[in-house]
Amino acid sequence: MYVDQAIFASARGTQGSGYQLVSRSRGIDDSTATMLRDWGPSQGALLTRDVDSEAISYYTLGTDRIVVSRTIYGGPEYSQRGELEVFTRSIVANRKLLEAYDNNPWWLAKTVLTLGYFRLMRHSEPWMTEVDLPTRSLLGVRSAPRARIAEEPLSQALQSLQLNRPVALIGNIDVEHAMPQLMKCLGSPQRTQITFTTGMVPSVRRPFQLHLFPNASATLNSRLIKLGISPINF
Amino acid sequence: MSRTVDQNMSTTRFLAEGQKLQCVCCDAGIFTNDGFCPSCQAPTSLSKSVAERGTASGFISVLGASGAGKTVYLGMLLDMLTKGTSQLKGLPNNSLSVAVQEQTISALENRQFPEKTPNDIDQWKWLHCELNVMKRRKCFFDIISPDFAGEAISYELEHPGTFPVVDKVIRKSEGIVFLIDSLQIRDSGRDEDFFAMKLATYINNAHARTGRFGSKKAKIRVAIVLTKCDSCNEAVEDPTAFANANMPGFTKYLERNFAAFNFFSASVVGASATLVDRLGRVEQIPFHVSPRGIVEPIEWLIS
Repeated sequence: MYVDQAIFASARGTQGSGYQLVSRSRGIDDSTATMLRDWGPSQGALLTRDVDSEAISYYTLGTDRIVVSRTIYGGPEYSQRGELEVFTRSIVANRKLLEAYDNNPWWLAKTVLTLGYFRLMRHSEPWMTEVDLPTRSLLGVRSAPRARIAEEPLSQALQSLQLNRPVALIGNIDVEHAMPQLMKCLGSPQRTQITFTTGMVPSVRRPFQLHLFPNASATLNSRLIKLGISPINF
Repeated sequence: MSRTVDQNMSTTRFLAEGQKLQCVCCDAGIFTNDGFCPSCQAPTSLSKSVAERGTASGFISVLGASGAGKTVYLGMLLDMLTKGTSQLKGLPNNSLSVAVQEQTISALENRQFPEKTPNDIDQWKWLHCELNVMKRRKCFFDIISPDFAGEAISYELEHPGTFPVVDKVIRKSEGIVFLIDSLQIRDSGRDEDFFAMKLATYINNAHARTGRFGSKKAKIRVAIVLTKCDSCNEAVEDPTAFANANMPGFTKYLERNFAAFNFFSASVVGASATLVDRLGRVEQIPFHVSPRGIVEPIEWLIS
């Protein structure tokens, strides 16, 4: 199943300088490109300065399109300020694709990651080819939804999400364990509506409902509270 | 929704969420417990600070493309105003302003330029300081200037409404400091000229006036500052001639549409060098802090 992809990074080009959509496949029109740019993370968006930091994110564009993305540090940022650019590679697909993945965006993201479509790449060409995804998840196994989670923080997070309140899990979190647990307890239609990110700084321009942060800090907590996101310590 | 329901909801929010005040950027009603204005996303703490001071305040917008030097300019400006010049003296009014100054001066003292400003509005720093004009008796007023991300300005030019705070601040501005990278002007063809024309058009639309015989020139004062002139002597000798020679479209547009504009050259460091590390990261290293032409544009704007 062919889906679109795009890269959001920092460059100096004919369209201007700075963070922009530097490359995309032909199925992404200008309107979609604008929405991707609005969600696109720029300098300082990753929680830590560790060169191996990454964030996996999921959000929706309107009623019919979904986006899974991976944000990492890329090459040197073009403006010679000695930093590494924040590189985001996104897969843009019709919402119907999620049905083939049991309406589980985490499975979709992990499948894309496993297939290598989230890798860092040069972004010198403005156009990219579409990506061929399998019609079912390579990793997840369909199972009956679970009503409860044993771990208390995850249980609290689940309650907030079911009440449509944004929440952040902070602490020593095993994302590979926490996300499948949460997805399993959310109902099938609700899974597609809960936008999430693992490791990206919260921002008023990226209204994710679920944030996962492996480290806590006083500034992070105060920012979460300002943005109306409930922090839950792990 | 009926007015009665609106009033009840406002009352409920007031009781639950604190005092109501007016956003300093867009004049929308906000609550003190809101982190950011829901309309333009300006920080509530800024509006609260302005309301508490109760003195006249005005915006001075510092605009420019990504990498033009807005953060460095604002930080150095506040540092110099804090120390005072023969004509101006300034004091920061809140911690947001000190953060601008601290970020710039700390970076320069460590032989670095400050980090790139993120696109996220909630991470922008806002300068809010009290300005004292020394040669005028009891002349105090507050100036507010956000440290915009260059991309935010570019996005707003391409798609108006993307960053409403940019539009609101420019409309409320009583003066504009327009930063342009002199090295980009000299070395990169007409790109800077085109960007400057777009931004000038945007400013003109926000401050357009019409008279009996059609449109009139915008009254807002625009100080065009050519930055990084430590590496571009041509811009130092005669900034106006340099701009006329390298940005003909922009200068013609200014002459036609703005009643008051002036060119300045500025730099913050005496000299700099380029460092490349083993990962291929290229970094400009400032050698020593030697500010020139930082305060003069502000003095001209308020004269």
